[in-house]
Amino acid sequence: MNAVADSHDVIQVRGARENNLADVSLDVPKRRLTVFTGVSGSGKSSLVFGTIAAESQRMINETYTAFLQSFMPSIGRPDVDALHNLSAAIIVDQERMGANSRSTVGTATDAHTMLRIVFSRLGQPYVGTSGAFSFNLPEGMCPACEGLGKVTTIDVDAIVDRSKSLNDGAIDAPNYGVDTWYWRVLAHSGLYPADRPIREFTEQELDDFLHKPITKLTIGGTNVTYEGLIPKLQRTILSKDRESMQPHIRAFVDRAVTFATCENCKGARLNEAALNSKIRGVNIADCCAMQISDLAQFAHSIDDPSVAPLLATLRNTLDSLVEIGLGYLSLDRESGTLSGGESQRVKMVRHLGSSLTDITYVFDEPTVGLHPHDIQRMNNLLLRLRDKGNTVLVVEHKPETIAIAITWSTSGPARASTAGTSATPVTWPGCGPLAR
Amino acid sequence: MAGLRTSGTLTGRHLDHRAKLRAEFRSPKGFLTINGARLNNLKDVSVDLPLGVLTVVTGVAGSGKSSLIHGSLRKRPGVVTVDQSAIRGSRRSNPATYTGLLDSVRTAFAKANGVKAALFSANSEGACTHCKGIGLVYTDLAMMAGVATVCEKCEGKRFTPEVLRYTLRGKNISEVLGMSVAEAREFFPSGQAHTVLSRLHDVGLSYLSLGQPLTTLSGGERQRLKLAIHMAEKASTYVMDEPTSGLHLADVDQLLGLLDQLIDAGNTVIVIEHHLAVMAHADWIVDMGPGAGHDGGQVVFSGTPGELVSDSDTLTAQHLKQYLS
Repeated sequence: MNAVADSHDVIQVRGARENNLADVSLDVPKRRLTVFTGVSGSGKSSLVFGTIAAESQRMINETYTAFLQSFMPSIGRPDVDALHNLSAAIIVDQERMGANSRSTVGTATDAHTMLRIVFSRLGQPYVGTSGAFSFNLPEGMCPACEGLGKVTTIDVDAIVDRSKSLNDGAIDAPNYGVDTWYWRVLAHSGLYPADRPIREFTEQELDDFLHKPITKLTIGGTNVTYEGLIPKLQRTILSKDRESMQPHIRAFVDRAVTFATCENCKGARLNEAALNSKIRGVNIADCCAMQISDLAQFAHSIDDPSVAPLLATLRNTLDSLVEIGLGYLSLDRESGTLSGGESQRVKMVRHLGSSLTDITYVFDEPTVGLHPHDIQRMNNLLLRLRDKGNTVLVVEHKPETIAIAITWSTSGPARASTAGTSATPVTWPGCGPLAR
Repeated sequence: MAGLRTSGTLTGRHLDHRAKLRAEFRSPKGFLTINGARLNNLKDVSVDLPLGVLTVVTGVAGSGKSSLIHGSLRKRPGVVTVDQSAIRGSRRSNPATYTGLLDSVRTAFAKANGVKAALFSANSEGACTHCKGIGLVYTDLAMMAGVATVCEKCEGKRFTPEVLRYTLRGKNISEVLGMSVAEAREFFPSGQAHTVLSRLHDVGLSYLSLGQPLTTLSGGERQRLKLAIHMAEKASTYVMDEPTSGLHLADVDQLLGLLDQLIDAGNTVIVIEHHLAVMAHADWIVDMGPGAGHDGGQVVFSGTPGELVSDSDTLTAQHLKQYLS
């Protein structure tokens, strides 16, 4: 069988000049594991991410209509003479997952979604559709903390110096300095004197200053919306997520705000109805708080033909998470708190179960954050992806992973201006014992 | 692997390179005590971390290393933490702006020529009016990828011709930004600028040019740039979360030298790390375990690497033994 179609066994890169690459030409074997290594700044990423993966993704995007393309990120054509025999590329990088407190390991892997459906079908008593178990939807969330599991309280004494008057700068919060707009609305409101120390305020004045709900006031002939300091800070600053705040705002929040577990749901994020619905005496919040390895056992113990296909997928996802070495996490862990290596492995779970083949998987340092003991496990996962018939390209420095590769190329010899000349790809003769 | 070993490249040479245990472990100047830590999976952990030496905290993923260190040390005074998060940079930021170096360079230019410092910023008054100080003109082609062309007015120099006429010791601002860190270090022989440049040199970035946009730096380069900034913060204890991520074997040696330098200056360095070369180089090792999640959360070993290898049988000890033999 010497069909022409079988002759595309290598990805050919000819004359790559992205960033500091110096006219690099090389062949990368398909359906093999290739490691790219070299000192930092030598051009590994430029070759793998900037050239091979970028061109592949650009080609895929080009198959969509111009209308759709205008909504997609536009990727420039990499600076290269020719690229042949590319296949569709999937990049698994170390980009942290969204730092949103509504995103958890459960929501990111879809395990939580499946669990919700299971509970909506089997949970006793019946409380509604799967939406009733979601802390991100009004029908499921805890009414007190709106599904965050945490409530914030502002320490008044950390932001208000009671011995000073407003004119002397009694408020110590960003954007509330003397003569700023926010300050003027407070100081000129006429509800309390701006030149008297805060501790001499009457009870009514203090309440207006700190807690008055939104009201329309006329200050010097202009209509202004007045709001007490605390609700205003809560609305303008605390509604944002800590991770996405500007550094100086975050420093303020760390100083003035205490995060406490929501009294109402005890951190479970859900309303009472959802928490009362149980399977074998366990509610969905308990499931999410379990270590994933324990939850996987629980999922295996449920046996109900009406949700069998769904349970099978759920078990599969949980088992993959355990296998990949993340069995110690729980589904309610916020994704923003995962380390770079952990989020990369969470993203990897999606691909392990996929039945697509002939994909080019591109990994950025998959062993980062792994103890030598865990590296072996990661290596096995990479080999499994390869054995399914995929091309696996890995940017890596650890000798342990370099050892399992069949071919590798090392870029260098030095870096920056002199770098990128790329060693001619060194091919390992055949498949030695280490290559398997 | 044999081919790579004998290829003579830097990687090939470093494959068999092994860091050795120290001949003598530095003796601690005191201890930093953590008492009854219970965050996440920690099981009432109490541990003494030695001061004035290099401590490595290690353990399998999920054993509670970060919970222990970040949970208990972050808020103490005099502690600077360098986490794993990547630095972000727009195409307007470069090593000079990111490290704050540009401020002193601009002041030096302004003083020498008796004009405003704002003229010497490509993000402010001095910027070329055509490309707005980027040096490139981006043409948006709607759904097709945009095209970047070198600005024809300033020829990529990013400043107006008037600004380029002002010089400092014979160089204009564009030429200074084109210098590598090593060249600039000689050009600014003293003052704040020299200090910043020396720090960049120490972390091994002396080849980087001052005006190279941060968007074109590699992961390892960004990691070291971040280290250089944090080293500038006044502190006595430095906590680093995996400083070797993104570093090649050859770069790790340089990092170890840098850590030694910090300690010799009288500081304490605590590193959360899995890299065996760093463990071997440490004065003190705290090993968390034995497993992950609820199987972890305990200190299974605390002592010098020598003791770990000879007396202990934890997972880390086994791997370190293998590495050293």
